[in-house]
Amino acid sequence: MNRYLARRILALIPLMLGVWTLVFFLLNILPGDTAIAILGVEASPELVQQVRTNLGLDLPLHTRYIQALFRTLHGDLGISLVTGRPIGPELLVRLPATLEIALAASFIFVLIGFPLGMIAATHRNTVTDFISRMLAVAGLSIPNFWLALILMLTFSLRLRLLPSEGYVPLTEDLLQNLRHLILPATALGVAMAAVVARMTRSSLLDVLGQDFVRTARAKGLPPGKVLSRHCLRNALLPVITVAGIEVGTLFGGTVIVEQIFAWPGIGRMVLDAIFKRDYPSVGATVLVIVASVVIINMMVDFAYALLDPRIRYD
Amino acid sequence: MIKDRTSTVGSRAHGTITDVRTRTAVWDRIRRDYIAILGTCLLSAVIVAAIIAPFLRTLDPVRTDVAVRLSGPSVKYPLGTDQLGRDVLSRVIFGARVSIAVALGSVVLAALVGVTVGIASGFSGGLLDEIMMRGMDFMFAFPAILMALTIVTVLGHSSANLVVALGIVYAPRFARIARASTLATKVETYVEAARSLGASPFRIIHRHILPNSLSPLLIVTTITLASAVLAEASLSFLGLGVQPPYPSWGRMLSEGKAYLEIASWLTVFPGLAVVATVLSFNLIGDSLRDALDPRIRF
Repeated sequence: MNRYLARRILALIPLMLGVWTLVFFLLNILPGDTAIAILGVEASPELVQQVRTNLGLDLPLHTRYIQALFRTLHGDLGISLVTGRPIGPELLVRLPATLEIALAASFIFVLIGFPLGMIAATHRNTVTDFISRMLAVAGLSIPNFWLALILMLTFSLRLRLLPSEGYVPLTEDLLQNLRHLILPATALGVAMAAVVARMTRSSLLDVLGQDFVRTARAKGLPPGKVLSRHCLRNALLPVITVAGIEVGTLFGGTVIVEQIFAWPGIGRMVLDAIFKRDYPSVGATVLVIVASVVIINMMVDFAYALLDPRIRYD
Repeated sequence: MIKDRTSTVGSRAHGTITDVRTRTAVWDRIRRDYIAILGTCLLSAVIVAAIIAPFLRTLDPVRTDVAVRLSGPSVKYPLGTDQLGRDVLSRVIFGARVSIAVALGSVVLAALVGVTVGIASGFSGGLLDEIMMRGMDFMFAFPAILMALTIVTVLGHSSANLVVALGIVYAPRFARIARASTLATKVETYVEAARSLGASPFRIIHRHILPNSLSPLLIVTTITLASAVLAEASLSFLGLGVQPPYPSWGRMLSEGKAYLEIASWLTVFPGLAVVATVLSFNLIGDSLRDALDPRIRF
């Protein structure tokens, strides 16, 4: 297990280097000129040239690559071309907001998805099963940004129950923070709840059909106990894998949902940076998002090993 | 799964009979499945709308009439008008064209690239397989929307570039499925028999590996079409897809956001169109999976 852990952590290094390199080259072959993007198309050529020199944009590509890589390895994520401020501290300020929304969305998808899938599986081929399955397919088919708009329309603009946008830090006012959190987290969580519900259903059905479940029933164990003692733990494993895979989708979704709810997280930062061709910011934000996804996926794999003693990693 | 187990080189005739029987059974199961019928009806409606839109003279998605801007649903404008007085119904119907075209284009591209890479990788094994699989790990680490966003930014904002970006994003899914089927099939004894009879790798892939990969690939194609419609809408919503004034659902939703409070129909109807299209692909995908291979999961 320890060797497996070490190997997985070591494997992160080439993966992250690859991601970093890909993003660097993608953004440096962009057809647009960053200097012009900052100054606007009417800027004089002399001014554009001056800005390019200041930003180091006229150096050859490989020199910039090595310089940028060296800086990143020292924890310096560069300076934003638009604001002129260092990117690292900005990311640190925004990361908690995104993690908060991702965590709340995960809470929602587990809270809705798992019971829905369980109900469907235990009532197989009944109307209840059919309705749960249709709910799950519908949840899967609703775009998160549209759900966000509809939630905003219903709960903020019509019923005036919740704020339509903005963010209050957790440390400032817990209640306000939660009120701002509910809509974006729901918009993000529903699609994933659907995925989890479907996975729970099929995985639980698999387990319910196995011999040891029949044995447990035959020896007179009450159905609730069969479910909780024998089935759930086994059925949980594939669900955890799927939930882990969905973490990527979750972080991808924050890009759009943060934009709609004016949530000051990394998702919005990456979008702003992309539109302004602020490539050091794009590189840094993408790197942080991919790193978060990869690290969470790895943690899911470890959780898997802890839950299922049959799995041996060596 | 339709396993072409019986169709070894020597007993082709027998294999064909088995195939026909299995296929009839699969079709029976799909036909009895009301979910599949619902999905097919929805999808047919969207496709018919996309095809006939330009032939309906009453529809005009770009004509503006400021006098009737932001008017609610009425007899003349069943789904209301937008901020420039354009007919929302026409725009929703024309939006189907972009949505379906981008989804189909990107999935065909992803399937061509992904299946080729997956089969080559699984069939050859060794270093090539290792390199390709590491490359895919790498792509799976990226959230799909983030990768598409970056690629579209690099290539420029247009629907053709959207197709390329989504094609790249979805190719690994196809590669993974094709590789898994290839690995499972290439160790079968009938493949060994074919090889010992002197069949070329191309023939083995064409006659044995591809037919065996078909049902999982069909399912992944349908599910990916659903994802592609969603992704197209998301990227257009962010302003990276089709350029105005041509209508796309995502774009309509992003333009309607500013008028959410006073003209909610601008948000409700294009969104419902997206939901109906994605839902139809998902329903069909589900039924196909139940009928062809209940063990496959995504």
